[in-house]
Amino acid sequence: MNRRGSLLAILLLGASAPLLAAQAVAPHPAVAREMAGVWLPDGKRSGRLPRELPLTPEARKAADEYQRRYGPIDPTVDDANASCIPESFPYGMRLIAQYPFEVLFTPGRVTIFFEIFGGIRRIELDPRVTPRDVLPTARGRSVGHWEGDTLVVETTQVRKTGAGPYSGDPPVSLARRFVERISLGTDDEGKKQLRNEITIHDPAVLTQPLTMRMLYKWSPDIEVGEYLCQQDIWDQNVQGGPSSVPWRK
Amino acid sequence: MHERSRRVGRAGLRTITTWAMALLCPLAVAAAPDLSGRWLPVPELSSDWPDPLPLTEAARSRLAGFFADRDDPAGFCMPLGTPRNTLSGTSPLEVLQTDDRVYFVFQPDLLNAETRRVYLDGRPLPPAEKRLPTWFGSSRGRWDGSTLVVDTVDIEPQAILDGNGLSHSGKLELRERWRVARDRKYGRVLIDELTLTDPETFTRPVTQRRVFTWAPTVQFAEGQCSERLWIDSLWRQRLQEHAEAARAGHPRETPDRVGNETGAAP
Repeated sequence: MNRRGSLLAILLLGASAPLLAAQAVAPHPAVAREMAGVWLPDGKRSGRLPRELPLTPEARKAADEYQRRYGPIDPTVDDANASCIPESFPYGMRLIAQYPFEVLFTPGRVTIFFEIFGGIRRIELDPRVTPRDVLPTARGRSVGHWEGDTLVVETTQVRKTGAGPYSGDPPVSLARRFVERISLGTDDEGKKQLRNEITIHDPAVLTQPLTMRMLYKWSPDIEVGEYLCQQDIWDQNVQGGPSSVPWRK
Repeated sequence: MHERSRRVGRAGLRTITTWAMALLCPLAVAAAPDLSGRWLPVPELSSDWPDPLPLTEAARSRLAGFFADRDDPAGFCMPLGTPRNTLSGTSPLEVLQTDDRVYFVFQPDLLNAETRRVYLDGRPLPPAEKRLPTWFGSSRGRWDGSTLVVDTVDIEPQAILDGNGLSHSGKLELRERWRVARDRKYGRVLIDELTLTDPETFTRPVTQRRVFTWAPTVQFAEGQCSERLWIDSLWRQRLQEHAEAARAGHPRETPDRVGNETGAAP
């Protein structure tokens, strides 16, 4: 190759370097094509968290103190979901009510669109593109990687506020860490199934990690719809009349 | 001598072409242009509504009766809706693209995220009896060269077009042409040329242009609109308690916060 040729080749290589870097994340395995699409929770077959959580003595004390100060909990007022404030992670993943979610695979990214509260979950496969020092949010910070055909996702920075049996109500700590192992399977009717083993690590609160196994049904005929939680207050405004939610009256 | 250098020149050109092909071929195979990534609106390059607006009488009277505090759905944590989410010119945009679909995810300030799903797989619109107006509408797209042409119908008429209360009749048809271009000042930009057709609102189709600049490092905040309403409600309760206590002659002490957001268990 002559000099001009190599110079141009170097220039071209330089120009395509960012593209090559963007492609440095391992591509999605073939199984991603099968995972992409709309899924509905399989309420009957999915697991649950234990009713009694294995709390550390400090966490037990804090929980009792919380009940003493604020109890009894009135779900019509104290359930943040009823006020359209979505419960923190893993709410959308552990939900068994029949709200679908959609999984979308694009280079370097798995995006999950939940119908419930119109939530969006961004799972980055390149940890460099998502900063560590983010403020805690309801969905948290999720970073994933493939172990063969299993998508392993670690989620941190999940905020404490919110309601529910585990994800928001005290006691939880901001240091909690969720590890999901998401894979494909077949249910006992021979239908395609998405499996998610969610493990919660929260050593300040739990004496041992908790695991729940969630299952989801393949639902190609369903589209994730619009979820207008606030329709209620808007309708009150448009049409007049009381609300079904006490604090909004 | 002269002849030789021309030959070398041609050989050089061939080498360059070969290298260029080898480097660019993997990109060329992906036929559709890549709109994906994170984008920020550039108001400077975007257009404004035509002045005066070519409005019908009906649209004029709808607009005259609009009071933002009372009538703007966004003030009640409802969505901006399509095309206001695209037109607003303030919301960061993330485009997610695969072979058969392009999703436009907008994150309006303090509102919930809004996802516009555009299907490119040739699926027809739902049959007439199953069609319902939705806040984001039903969108179908196709590639016209390097331009993504998106048609949107079935848009909920409560989804107004801007914060001044410009609204449509529910028969709005939206045609958009999305493409990537290069701007001298902003570099890589995403351009959307919108045409709004609604004979019950506009006396002629109205065009708009929105431009977004490529912003790969932008992080999307999490919008929880209702939290604002919820906090307002808590404050109203607290103020009421204080007012009642003051009337009764017993000023209340503000209770201590229990727990904090930085420690472990509260």
